[in-house]
Amino acid sequence: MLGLDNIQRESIGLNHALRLIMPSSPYGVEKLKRITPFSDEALINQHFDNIEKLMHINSDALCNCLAHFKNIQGALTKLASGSLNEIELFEIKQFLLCFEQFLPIFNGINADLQLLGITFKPMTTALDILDPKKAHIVPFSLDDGFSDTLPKLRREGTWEEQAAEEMRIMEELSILLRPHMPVFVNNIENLGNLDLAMAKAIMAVKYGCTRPIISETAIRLENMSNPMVNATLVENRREMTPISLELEVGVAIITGANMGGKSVAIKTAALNVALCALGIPVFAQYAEMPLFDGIFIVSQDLQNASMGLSSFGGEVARLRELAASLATDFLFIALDEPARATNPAEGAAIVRALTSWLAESKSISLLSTHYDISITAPKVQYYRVAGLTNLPDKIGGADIADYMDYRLLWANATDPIPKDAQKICKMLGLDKGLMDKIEREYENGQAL
Amino acid sequence: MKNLAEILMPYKTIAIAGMAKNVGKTTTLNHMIQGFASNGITLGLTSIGLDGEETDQVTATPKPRIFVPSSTIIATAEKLLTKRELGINDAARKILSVMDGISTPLGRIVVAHTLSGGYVMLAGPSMVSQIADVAQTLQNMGATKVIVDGAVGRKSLAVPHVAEAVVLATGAALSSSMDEVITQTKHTAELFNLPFVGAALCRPPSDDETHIQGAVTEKKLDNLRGKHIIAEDPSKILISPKALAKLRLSGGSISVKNRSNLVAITINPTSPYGMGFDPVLFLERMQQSVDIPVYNIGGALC
Repeated sequence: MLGLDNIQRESIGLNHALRLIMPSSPYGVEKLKRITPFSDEALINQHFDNIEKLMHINSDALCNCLAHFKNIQGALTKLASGSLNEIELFEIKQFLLCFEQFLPIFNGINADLQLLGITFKPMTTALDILDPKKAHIVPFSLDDGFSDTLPKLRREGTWEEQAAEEMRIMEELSILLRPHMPVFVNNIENLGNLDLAMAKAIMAVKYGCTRPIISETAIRLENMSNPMVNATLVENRREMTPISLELEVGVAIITGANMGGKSVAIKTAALNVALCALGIPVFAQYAEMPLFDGIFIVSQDLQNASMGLSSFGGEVARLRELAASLATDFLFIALDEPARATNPAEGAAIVRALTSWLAESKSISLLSTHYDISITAPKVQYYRVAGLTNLPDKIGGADIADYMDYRLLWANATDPIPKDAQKICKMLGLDKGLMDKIEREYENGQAL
Repeated sequence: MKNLAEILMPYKTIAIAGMAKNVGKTTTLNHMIQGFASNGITLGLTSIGLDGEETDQVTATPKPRIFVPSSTIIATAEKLLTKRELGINDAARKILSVMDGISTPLGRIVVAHTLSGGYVMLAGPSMVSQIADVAQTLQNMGATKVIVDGAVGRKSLAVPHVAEAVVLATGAALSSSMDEVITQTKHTAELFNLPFVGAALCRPPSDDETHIQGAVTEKKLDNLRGKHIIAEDPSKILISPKALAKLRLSGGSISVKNRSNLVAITINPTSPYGMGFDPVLFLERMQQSVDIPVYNIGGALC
């Protein structure tokens, strides 16, 4: 999905976000399990139109109805080539009765909404096959009036005669149902699509998500958040500071303090780009982004130790993969502190080279770094974490988070890298002797 | 003395357990079904699993078949239900529900309502929580009383707390010695009806109390003389009648967190393995050793 493996999806909070989407029917659940990114702008806009419309209705009746559908794929697969038994016929009848209840409710809602690309065909004739008396009750029996012979055989016939007649009824019903297969397939497909769109809309309303606007090339994310990060913060009675980013084709570099949320910013941007690609409203107040060919994430916590490479080796392997698709594809590339595991001099050199290499591509890259790499080049822009402000001299046991401003601010290549590490040492009450030495080093310019 | 159906009348869910194979568990079930049917009760029937041996029997010679009257609600595995053969599943029926959340080696559990009398084969889930689900579904579908055809031997002790009442089947097939049959049955009956302390014991255990999470074995008891032992449920207690007696002599006791309620014992004096017992003597001696009613359901072996 999107070129992201499960570890990456987990890491940026995509799996967490997908778990917030809860379809009502097995068909919606199946669609969510197999969710794929959109590649066609018209189709994704149509999809977001539908979701936006569904966000404004009371979904209870529709969801309640959708929740009653059972998965009949097994029975349908069998019907395609063979005869159904009484249990499978029961399942089909149960589905058709659900559908009879569903269709008028959907039509009522859709008269106003006019959802695009979601159409159902009536199935009453198929139901009549299994419910000849039009009793419209769920229980199903081969004795429901399918044969004039069976009641007589039940009274007077041998067991073999009864069993043969039962078999004949099941075969006959299967033959009668088979021509309706395309309608089943169409309606189940549309039930799945409707249910998933509905579930996305419900999630969007619940979490205040926004419909993204599909742009040509630029990304604009205003006050975005990440529900996974929020979920962990809520436990500590905190809330994620919304962050905003504007990205063009080229490279944006995020610099800033330790503990300043650079990784969270990168993951949050990647999450929302991924959600948009999957046709899911995003966690932001306003969002604009293009359709990418793929998302590419390089992050040390994601490099696979089992590959037998050091963390730096893992990054190099990942960059090699990136080089393969960078030439042809329009990518969103997120790099969280690349080369941080190597020595600062080499690391900075590598990041500078990486920046100018990515700036030459037609993709959008978002990169965080600790290194002072000030490159003034076209298509390279800077953000910095606002960082520590209004600091008291000492906060003792209090939380750094209380003084950290996690917002991202525009910066210039020539802006000095903030020296928050020193402040953090001080705030956390480092031993005075050591603190004095650190301050002396700073004064001597050794740390710069 | 009240008959078996009368004894069971107050309970909505009843489980049948067997001391061993061929002690008359299915005969007991058939006996109960007939007893309830003549009282105009809509019965719900299911079973705990089907072990490997019995699964083979499904394909070869099916053994635990049960005759049910019209208007009985059964829950059984789909592959078993669709096996339409005379003597296996020959009752005309109406499908009421497919429980697709519960699957067994023989497919999903299907709930059906019989339209005529006939034979059915039952195979339910083997997990206790799923059995409780199925029993609830049977009641939702209109059964006023549910019988769970339980397991045989030690496994049978694990299920009772999903049922309000348990009936234990025993008989000559357990051992060729009547003394042995009576001793073992008495011991099992005692385990079923051990004192019950409640699943959520709020206070911390006192000094002479010991909670045992897993199996209660004789080896563990060696160090626990005089202690009051609290086990999860009777199935966790793996000690002989002698060891239990020894514990009690030392001033100790065993109680359980999950209640089970053994209300009657049925005996089958005949055995497929050889000589049976004198039915009158067997009934008399069994009745003397337990304080719940004992019934000889005798008749055919099953």
